[in-house]
Amino acid sequence: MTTNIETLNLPTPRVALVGNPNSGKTALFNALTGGHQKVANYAGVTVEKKEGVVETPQGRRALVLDLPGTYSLRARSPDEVITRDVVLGKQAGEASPDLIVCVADSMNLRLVLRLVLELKAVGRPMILALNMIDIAEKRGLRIDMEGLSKELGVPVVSTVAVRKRGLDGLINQIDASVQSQAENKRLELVSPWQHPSAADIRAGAREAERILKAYVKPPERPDTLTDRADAILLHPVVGILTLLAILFVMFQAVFSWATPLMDLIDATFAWLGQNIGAMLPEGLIRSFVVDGMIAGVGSVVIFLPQILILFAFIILLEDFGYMARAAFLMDRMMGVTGLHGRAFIPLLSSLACAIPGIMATRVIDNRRDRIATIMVAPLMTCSARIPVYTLVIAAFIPRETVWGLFNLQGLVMFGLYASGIIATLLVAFVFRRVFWRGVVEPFLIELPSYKIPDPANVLRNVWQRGEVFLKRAGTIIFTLMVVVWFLSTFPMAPEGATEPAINYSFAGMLGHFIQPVLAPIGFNWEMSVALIPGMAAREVAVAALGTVYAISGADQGSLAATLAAQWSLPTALAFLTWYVFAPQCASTLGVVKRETNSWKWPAIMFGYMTALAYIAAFIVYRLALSAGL
Amino acid sequence: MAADGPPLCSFAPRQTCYMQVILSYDRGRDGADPSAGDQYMTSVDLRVPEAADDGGVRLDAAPIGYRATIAMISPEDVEDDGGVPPEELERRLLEMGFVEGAQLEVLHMGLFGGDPIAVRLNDTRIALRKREARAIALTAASA
Repeated sequence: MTTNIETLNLPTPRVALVGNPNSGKTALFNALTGGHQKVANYAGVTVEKKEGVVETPQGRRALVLDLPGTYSLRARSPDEVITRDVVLGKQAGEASPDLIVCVADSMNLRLVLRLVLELKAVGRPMILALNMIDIAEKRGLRIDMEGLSKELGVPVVSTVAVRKRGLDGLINQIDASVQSQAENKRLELVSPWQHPSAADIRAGAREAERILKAYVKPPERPDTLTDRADAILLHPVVGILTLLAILFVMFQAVFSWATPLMDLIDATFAWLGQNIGAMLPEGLIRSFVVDGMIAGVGSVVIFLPQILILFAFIILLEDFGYMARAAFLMDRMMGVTGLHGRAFIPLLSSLACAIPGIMATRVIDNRRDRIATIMVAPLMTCSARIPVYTLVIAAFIPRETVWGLFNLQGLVMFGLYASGIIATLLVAFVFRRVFWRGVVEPFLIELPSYKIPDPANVLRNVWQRGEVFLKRAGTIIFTLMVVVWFLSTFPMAPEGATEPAINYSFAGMLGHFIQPVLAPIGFNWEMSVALIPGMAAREVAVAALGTVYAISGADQGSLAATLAAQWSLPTALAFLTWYVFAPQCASTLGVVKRETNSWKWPAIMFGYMTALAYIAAFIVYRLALSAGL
Repeated sequence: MAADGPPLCSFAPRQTCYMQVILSYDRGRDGADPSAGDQYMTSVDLRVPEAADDGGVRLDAAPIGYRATIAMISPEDVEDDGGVPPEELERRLLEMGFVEGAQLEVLHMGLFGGDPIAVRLNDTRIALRKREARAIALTAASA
């Protein structure tokens, strides 16, 4: 997928793709660079940097940068800051581009023309690419490209990125521009661009309007399909029901379609562990390879099905043009908590697993909205809590019917889910309205025309998400898994030890060490110890409890029976409550580190969730005790 | 107020602006404390009332199907409950195409309180909250 760009001996000319959102810029980027692209992050920020290589028929190569979409260089979000700084040559570690290709949706030229005028002030060579020209032609929109080119003073080409039409023309223009610059040594000029005032923007808009009237003949057959679709999809009632139906399918897919794949991955890694383990001598190396490395890689790969399925949905919805509609429909409801309409889908996805949910917050452009959403996502009840909940519920909650209608066990399960959702909304409210008071970002988004997504683009983008996860989040998650293994293994049990091995390890010591702190919420030392390896993932707590109890010579039989015999009901309720809130998942913390590019946010997340878990478990435990349970 | 920005009423005849001042003084602002009234009189800030005197309305009060031309962007009228500063809001609206003279049609509204609002703005469709829509004064299209 990647080409070794750095090893080229000549300074490769740099071409920056700039354009409004929804202009098909990324599709054009994909068409230009094909498989030769790599995804990284800009230094110090979480904005994704996509670059690739285009080869011209004349044998020249150019580095193409796909910059985040924007309406103005007057950056309003971290993404747009990157676009501005790269264009102006101010981005640390990035040479200023030799050429700007401004990508325009041919059906929607007014706003991009104003951007073109602003970009012209930057003083770099520029090409205007009128993308999706096929749709414009079908609608009978006519553009006088020659006149437009003369008026703007830049070459104008037409393209259809998804059908790879017009690419030769664009590449030839890129080549010509690059060549003429190689001949006339380019001066590193300080860009004369300055923050435009409202008056400047007005003047620009008026100028754009004049140019549009002069060179563009409006469509004879405007797009009525989008209007007709919106009549249903944005209908206050029908629209929301449709959204819920779409979300239901999506949630089902992430939740259940992924299960067989995850089971397969699980079984594969278990099989690998068994077979490779059998080849190794009993002891530390085997334990490291099987329980540390193979289990560590497995714990990363296991998330891949959910991530790929979720992103397939998200990218499809985005490419259809529906995502902005979903944000429109949910904006008011999310607005109550101070969050953006776009936060809805990441939060809902977190019901399956917080990791793809947190990765999906990339659709939120405002940084504070995005961080607030990331911070609350793990409070949504993820599927990894289910094994813990079912174990404890089966052990302690009688299978009774209450109020003649409800199953008590189901009712408790519902209560746990509801607590998670309520906590999510409350904490979001606290983050957005208490800590970050006073910065309500305007909700101002374009509702693009509906389009049929291009399957190749969707597949490429979905795969890219998977790759990014494996490479970047994966390394952090893997490291944390090895750390957890190390803590639960060393120091090893002495000869003739009677207690389970974990009891002698650092995890055991830590568990014993924190036990006095956890005593007020009713946790015994076995539970405290199990929490340490349980940091690997929530469901691991079940296995960890099994390890601690099964070998410690407690009652044989099922774990549930053991727990029922060993724990009091208040303790069990406190343990359930703990799992509603506690940050018992190292992978989530790893992804938060990755997505926010700092250990500060995972630290805050760990702190507030632990505090919340402790306080809630304390209240539940004390209430249950005083109620005589 | 807005000394370095463009005059607020540059797109309306002088007299209209004068009338608007009087009107807005009479009405006050909903929820504004009475002391704010003094500010109105001394300020050259020309606030447009709920319904402009030429029969147009603010975008936040326009019904679905309403077609109009944008008469003026006046972000000072947006309730000051912690949004971006008025001059920033003005620039954002302008960048999204909410400029004086643009053709606008109200297309859809959200379920709760008719918020947010989706409009056709020239050839694009744009969604915004009622709060910000208040900054957009309309002149009804002479249909």
